[in-house]
Amino acid sequence: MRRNNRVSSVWRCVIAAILIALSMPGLFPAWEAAAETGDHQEIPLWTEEEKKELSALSLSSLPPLPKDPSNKYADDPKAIALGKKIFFDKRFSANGKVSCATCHDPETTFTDKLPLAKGMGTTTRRTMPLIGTAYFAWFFWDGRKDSLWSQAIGPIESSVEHGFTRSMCAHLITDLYKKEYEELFGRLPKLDHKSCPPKASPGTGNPAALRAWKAMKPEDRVAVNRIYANIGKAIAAFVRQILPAPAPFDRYVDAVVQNDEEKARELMGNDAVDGLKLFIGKAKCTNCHIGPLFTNSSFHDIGLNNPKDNGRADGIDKVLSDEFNCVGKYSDARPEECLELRFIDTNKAKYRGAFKTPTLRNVAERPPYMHAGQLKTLSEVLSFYRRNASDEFEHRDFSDQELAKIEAFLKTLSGPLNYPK
Amino acid sequence: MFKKFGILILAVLFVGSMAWVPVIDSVGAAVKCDCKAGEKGCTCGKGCACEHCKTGKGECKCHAGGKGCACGKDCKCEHCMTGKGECHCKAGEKGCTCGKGCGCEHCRTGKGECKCHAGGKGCQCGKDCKCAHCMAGGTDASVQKPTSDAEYAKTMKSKGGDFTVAYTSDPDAIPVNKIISWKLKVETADGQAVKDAEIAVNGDMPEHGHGLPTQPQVTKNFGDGTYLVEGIKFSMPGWWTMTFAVKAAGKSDTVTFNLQVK
Repeated sequence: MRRNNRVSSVWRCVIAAILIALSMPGLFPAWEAAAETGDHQEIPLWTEEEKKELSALSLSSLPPLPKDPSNKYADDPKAIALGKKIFFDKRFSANGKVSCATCHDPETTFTDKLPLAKGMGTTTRRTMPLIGTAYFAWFFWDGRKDSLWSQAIGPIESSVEHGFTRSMCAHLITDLYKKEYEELFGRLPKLDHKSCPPKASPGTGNPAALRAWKAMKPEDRVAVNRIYANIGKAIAAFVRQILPAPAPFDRYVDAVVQNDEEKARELMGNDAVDGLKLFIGKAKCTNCHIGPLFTNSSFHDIGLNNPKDNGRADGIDKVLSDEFNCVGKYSDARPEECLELRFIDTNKAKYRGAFKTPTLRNVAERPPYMHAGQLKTLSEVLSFYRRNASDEFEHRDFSDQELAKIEAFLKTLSGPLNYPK
Repeated sequence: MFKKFGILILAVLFVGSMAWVPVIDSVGAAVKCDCKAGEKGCTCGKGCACEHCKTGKGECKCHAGGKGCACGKDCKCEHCMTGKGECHCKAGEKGCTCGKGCGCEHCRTGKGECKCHAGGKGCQCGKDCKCAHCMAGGTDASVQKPTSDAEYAKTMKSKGGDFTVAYTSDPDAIPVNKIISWKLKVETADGQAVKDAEIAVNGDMPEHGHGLPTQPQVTKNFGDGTYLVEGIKFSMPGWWTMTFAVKAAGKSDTVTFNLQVK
């Protein structure tokens, strides 16, 4: 009897202890948290909500290539083949040494790893990555182009890039690519050096070229513009095929979704997994770097304070007045299909110093960073975000260790690129 | 002996559970905190609903005080608010003058830019300040973060009660970063269709101080009290507001919808 009493009082104590422990909120989550950061790290248990967030970032969520209503040749294999040739053809430059691939080198994930792009001269901005561009609404750092084909012809007439003219492009196409061009776009017009002087262009900033352009007959100018636009449409057909293939991150997410912990553990290290947690959580990187291409394709002033460059604020008028925009005569779209241009935000004050959010796919492979290559390494970028706060982010309470983990995660976004070889 | 053993377990578990509580905070369990400017020990972890302290480092927004707007010792003052003008200007900036009816949220050094929230008609920034956007509603209850599901309703009464407005989205599940359209159904307070309304559209992300990346417009009046709004695009996940200023039959009123974009 006595013994029973003693035992029951012991058990009462144990039960009371357990009840008190259970009543302390979060005690058991704390154990889990300790396990995560301890020596025997487990793959963190992603919540169902987090798994959805991860899936939305994975390449398996990337929809099929979206249609470009402004370019009816966008998915034509012949346009892809012609575009690829022109992309690598250095003859479309004033010194015969510059092609699209000069800055967009496939060997270095279609960038040049330079702070500022170098063609005939040096530009004021860094070469943009060409990964997954088919999914974007705006092109160049300032979004001064609203289609990939219109973007592609921009650098050809830039004096510091190809230094070429659209009239020379028309002659080169006639001389070098007549057959391929006509198969796609129909018969080339007859243009000689008199009706189409080689150095005629409204877009180079060269007064002599502008005079020569103005001296041309209106119908010849339209004919040249048509060829020039079609060159862009062929190049765009090729460039829109440059797509990311699964990186370790994508395979990790697949494994997580399938609850294959062992495989997941092999694909991403503990630091990278912690970094991923921070990326979608505390650091809120996904506010802008969203979706499987890790960009919202929008424009933000992150506080780089580049006094020489207004960014998107200057890009707005440029794209609205561009004869090669979506509503222009060289576009294949019906005006009502040009949603982005029709509803463009024209508030320049809002976009002063704002630049396009770049994709983070293969980001570790292409230093330096930011629109003018201001930051040399990923670690500098992350430190910059900690140092600078804006309306859209506040990262001051991040430790060095946390930044290193985010960097480890960013490295898992490097993977091969698929493009027509 | 068994009794002693039981007490030992009790003690270990109790002390252990006490010791873990700070860990819970730091890993961001759903702790709620209600910090106001300048409060000592204001630590806001992940999941913390604190509005005025942004990080765990003792940063805070300062209310009122004008010059010498001082928060607590560990608190770096970022914003000063002047009186009833509800003007948040970053401390010590040149040319940043916030007038009485000013809804200026930020003046940035050098650039002279400011973003305006609220204030409606009186939304004026200083001389060197170009106002980026003014929002109806502003600092009143309509831009307070919703706390109930009812505030996310797709049918809302306008602020003054003149209209009832309902929206349907195409597509129904609102995507991030894609241009979508909405259909609005506008009725008078007593349920009559409003067929000739002029409607202005404004979207905002109050917590981020920016609006939509597009300028949506009403592009079609179906003639039966429904209207097509095209060009809506939400560039981020999170809490957004969509405000419609409705003018009809000599009445003007605004209606604001809250939505969570995922």
